[in-house]
Amino acid sequence: MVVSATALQNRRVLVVEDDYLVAQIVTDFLEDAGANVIGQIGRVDEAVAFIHQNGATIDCAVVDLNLHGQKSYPVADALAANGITFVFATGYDSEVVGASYGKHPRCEKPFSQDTLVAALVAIGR
Amino acid sequence: LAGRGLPRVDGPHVPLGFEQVQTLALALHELATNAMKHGALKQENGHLDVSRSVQKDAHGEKAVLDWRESGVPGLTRAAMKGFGRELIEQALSFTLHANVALKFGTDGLSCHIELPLVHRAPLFEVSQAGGE
Repeated sequence: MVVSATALQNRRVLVVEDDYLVAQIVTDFLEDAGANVIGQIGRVDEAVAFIHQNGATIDCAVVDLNLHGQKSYPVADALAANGITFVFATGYDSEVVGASYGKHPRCEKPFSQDTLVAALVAIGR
Repeated sequence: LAGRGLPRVDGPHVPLGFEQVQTLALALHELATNAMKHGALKQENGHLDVSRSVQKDAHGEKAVLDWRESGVPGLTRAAMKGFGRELIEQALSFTLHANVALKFGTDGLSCHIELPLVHRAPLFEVSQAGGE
């Protein structure tokens, strides 16, 4: 399957990821599908502050579960409070995602471009 | 490297976490590759000096690494590929919150890296009573 260049057209996506190379790859995946990546943030506190300030301009997000040794649940809470849908990107299996966060869709690393784009298409706007 | 003098590496051993090792190793590999192709490890009169130390400031401990090449005239930023520079100048600060100064001096390249030493617990460690 080849990702459509318009699958995420005009979707404004926040990438929350602490590894530079992974953030670049995720951004490339999303931009190839037409998305507009509006930020790459690697720290929990910075991501939460960014969401509070710019919530209205974010359509959806990709959130790494582990940010410099901290779980990213505060980021998930901030997104949910602003009505922004997101997918967790994680190298951990579902067992270790806290019970109340297990309902959110996950892309388990290493994921393909197809998998990530399909997950974001599925959560809609 | 015969005839050019071996690189000199000074300073204490500094234990790093696996996340730090991964990104730092990529950056050091870029510096070494660049030195072999264009810099102090290629030039007849080139010399490479690497020093490490641990310093403390208001934010805590940091590892300081100085990569200094000399005897390499005429080097420009263009000598290092964009992706190599990106790994050194962007990835280290984004991933490890390091301060990095990469300079292409008249006598060779230098790179100063200040890496915060963060000692963190594993993300999903089994909790222990009385833990910190």
